[in-house]
Amino acid sequence: MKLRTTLLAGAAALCLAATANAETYTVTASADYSGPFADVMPDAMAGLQAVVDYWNAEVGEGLGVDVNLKIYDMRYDAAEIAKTWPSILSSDQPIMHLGFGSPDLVTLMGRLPDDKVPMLLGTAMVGLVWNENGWHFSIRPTYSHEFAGLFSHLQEGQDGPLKIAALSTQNQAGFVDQVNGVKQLASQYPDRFTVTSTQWAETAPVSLTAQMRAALADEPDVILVGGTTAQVIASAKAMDELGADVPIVMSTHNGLSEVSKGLSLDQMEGFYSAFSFAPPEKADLPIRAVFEEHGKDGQWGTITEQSAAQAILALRVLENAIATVGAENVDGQAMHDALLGHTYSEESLMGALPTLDFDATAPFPVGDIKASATVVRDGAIVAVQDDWFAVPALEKW
Amino acid sequence: MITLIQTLIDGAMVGLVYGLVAISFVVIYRAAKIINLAQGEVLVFGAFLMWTFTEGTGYAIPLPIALVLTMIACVIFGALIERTIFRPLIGQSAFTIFMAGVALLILLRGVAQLVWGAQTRSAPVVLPEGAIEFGPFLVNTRLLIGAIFTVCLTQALHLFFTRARLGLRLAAVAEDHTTALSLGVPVRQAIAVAWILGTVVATAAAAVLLSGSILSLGVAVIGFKALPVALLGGMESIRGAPLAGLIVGMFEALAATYLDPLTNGAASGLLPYLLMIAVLLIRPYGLFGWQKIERL
Repeated sequence: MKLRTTLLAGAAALCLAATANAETYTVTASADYSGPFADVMPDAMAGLQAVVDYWNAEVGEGLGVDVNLKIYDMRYDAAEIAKTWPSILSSDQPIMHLGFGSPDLVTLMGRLPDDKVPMLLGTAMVGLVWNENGWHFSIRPTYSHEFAGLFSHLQEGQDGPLKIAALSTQNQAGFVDQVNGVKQLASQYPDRFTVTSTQWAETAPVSLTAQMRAALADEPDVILVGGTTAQVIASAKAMDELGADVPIVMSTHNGLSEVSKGLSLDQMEGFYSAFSFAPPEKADLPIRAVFEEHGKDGQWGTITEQSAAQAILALRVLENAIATVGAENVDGQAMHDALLGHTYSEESLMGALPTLDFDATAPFPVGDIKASATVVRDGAIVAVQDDWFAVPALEKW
Repeated sequence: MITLIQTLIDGAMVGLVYGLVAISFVVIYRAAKIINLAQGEVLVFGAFLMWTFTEGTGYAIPLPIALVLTMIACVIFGALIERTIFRPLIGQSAFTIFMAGVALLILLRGVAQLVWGAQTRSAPVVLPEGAIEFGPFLVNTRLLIGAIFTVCLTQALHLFFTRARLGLRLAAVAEDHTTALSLGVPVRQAIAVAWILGTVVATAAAAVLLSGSILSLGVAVIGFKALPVALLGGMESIRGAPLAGLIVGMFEALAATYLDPLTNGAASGLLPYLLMIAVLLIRPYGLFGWQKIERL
């Protein structure tokens, strides 16, 4: 009995020693538990955590590496990020930061090359920061690329150019940039796309009837509302008043689930949400199985899928960094080099993202960019198709 | 011509919503001589209270009862603001009161976030959806009801301030606190009534503005849209607020229709306020304000 106890104690000590020998790296993440995305944040962070837990258990253990995910509530506030980032650098020494939205981007992109910490966003990029040699990246191309992918798909089924009316706001540069990118698409492919008009409105408008009346005068095939949820709802209600029924195309931050808080799915029939990670409803999606097995809380959905995709890419980058510099020597520079130095296949990303290739010319995937979309069909949100859309190549605007 | 008239109708409807929010500024200023910078947050607070009683309790409370409960809660809320924040500041400098308004703005944002969270949620449908046709013209039903309500409320408040004993007390307080006090007018009570009125009107504006849409903390920005309207109408003029709202709303709509396509959307945001500045340069007390007022 005494010998057995001694052996067990010895085995436990060996296990502990092995765990202690694993190299631990910190990956930090921005959350927004008290800003405009507070309602979806538990699901978003659950997506990150589930994939990190999966990786630590299934991959990291074999590599002798453990990833510590540290989540900071940045409140979607540039001031909060600017205030918190120096202490993150000194206390956590992260090898990568998982960013969320424009506040992270505008606050950190200028200093990241000096801090030697690459940032990987889950939210889409904007053309305004399409710079070379940055340390800010996104798993997604620009919003305009994502819209272009869906528009290209829609145009393939019709004669003549797809007529696009846009509604946006001058209050946020990123939303203006979306429209500029779509105008660039139309200027590059005039036979396929036309921007019939652009209407400008407040982010929280009282009514958009006048703007919709003007937009509908050109008989557009789709109306692009990439700004706020309130704008999508006001646009849809204005169309109801005017007796029109033109599909609205939105993004993920103002996506179908968000809009359904103010409109019934019946009212949203035919509306699209464009993005560039796999639709969460996609039939064969290994990343969803990972979340279902390792997710401790949260629900699977668009934002969960986005975060899971962000996490799996970051961890695949870590695997390549380990292969290059060794498990003990990974730092921000190694992560940056690994991100740019390899192609990441759809299979290795567990179907969450298309095959991605990064280089120093852009802060988003380059080469054959792909996109995806969901649509409201028969009162339910479904993937437009299981395959990715090819995104027409866009020159910098 | 049809386009022009339709544009003016659309602008007038939106402008009267601005006017309704502006009235809530005016009723507070008339008695308390305070420009409440946090009026947008007060509106959001009222909207959250309305959401709580219509959808947030988990019980199916009939809409009329929920609205009555909302108004009772607003009365308490308005009285609480006056009693705890602004009453202790009676007699303090205008700058102190201005800063208290800024503090109230931050406080209300924080409390709303703490109590209801920062997420967007569906706002209750208080007014009917859709549009009514008048010949070739189309008028949004929600905004039309809101406009009629604004006009009726304006007239009712005007009668209250010029005919009712309590309203006349408020008018006396607005004239001069010290004189009113020396004449035996209960200044504190009058100011409390003004805050309660301001809160109730702001919540009524929230009902018109948000009916069937979504509710978030960001809606508070309407306060900064309505404040210039109140300044244009004159901070003491109940009837000036909706008139100024009409002017701003119609100019905004005209600019959106005819100038925005040429200016990449800049004109509709700029022109109404250029007009407002032009008017204030000529009449610094607003179109219908009292000439002797002291501004912050």
